[in-house]
Amino acid sequence: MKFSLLVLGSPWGAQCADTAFGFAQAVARSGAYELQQVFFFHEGAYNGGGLAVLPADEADRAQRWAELAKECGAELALCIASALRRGLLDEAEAARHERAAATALPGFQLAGLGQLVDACARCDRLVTFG
Amino acid sequence: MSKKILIICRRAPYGNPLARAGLDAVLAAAAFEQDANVLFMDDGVWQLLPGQAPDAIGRKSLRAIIQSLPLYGIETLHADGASLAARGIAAKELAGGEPPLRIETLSATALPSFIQGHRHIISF
Repeated sequence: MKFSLLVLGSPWGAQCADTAFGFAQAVARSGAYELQQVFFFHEGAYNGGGLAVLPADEADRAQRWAELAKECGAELALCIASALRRGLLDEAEAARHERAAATALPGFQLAGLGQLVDACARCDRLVTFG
Repeated sequence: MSKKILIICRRAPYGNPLARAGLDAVLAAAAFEQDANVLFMDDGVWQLLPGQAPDAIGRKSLRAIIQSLPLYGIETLHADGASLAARGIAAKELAGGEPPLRIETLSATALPSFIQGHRHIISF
């Protein structure tokens, strides 16, 4: 069974982001299920921020998503409209909009809402965390 | 093969930006020619009221987006009747605009089977 996740909350504003990560990890490591895509929409886009610095006893949220995705082959998609308005840019968008730096962690792709629609069409279960 | 998607809009129009996010998801599903329905429930039914004038608070009208949905192939919208009743909104108040919106009000007994008729449910 193929799962896709939709994450609507930021790691610091809502518990749902960490819950989504726990669910994603359980799916990816189950051996029985496949994690296809995680789409970060709205405040969820903050999960892909590569510049956040957390206290030493807390997990680096973006980094651990990137590691999990690498391990299981899932796509991490940041909604481009949500990401741009929150200052989360990859190299290409930073150059296009003449901003000083890329702020999204490599491993997250900026993608349109069409990618969420596409994930719905391809997966068996879409689970929303928000 | 396209799968039936239901997007449930549950937020008041201007208090929470998820209201707009939900409508953006509806537009995206329609633009990608998915078989999509939209259901307004809880405080989301406020999004349906005509005559919204949010320019005063520097926002764009969500009702204008809703008004455009039939152009994208979403011809009938759905509203939870109990949510309307709880807020004193009469279904006939909602159709205003040109052309008038087609809004089907679902009773508490019709709601579960309506929701069950969809493959994916995304709630905002």
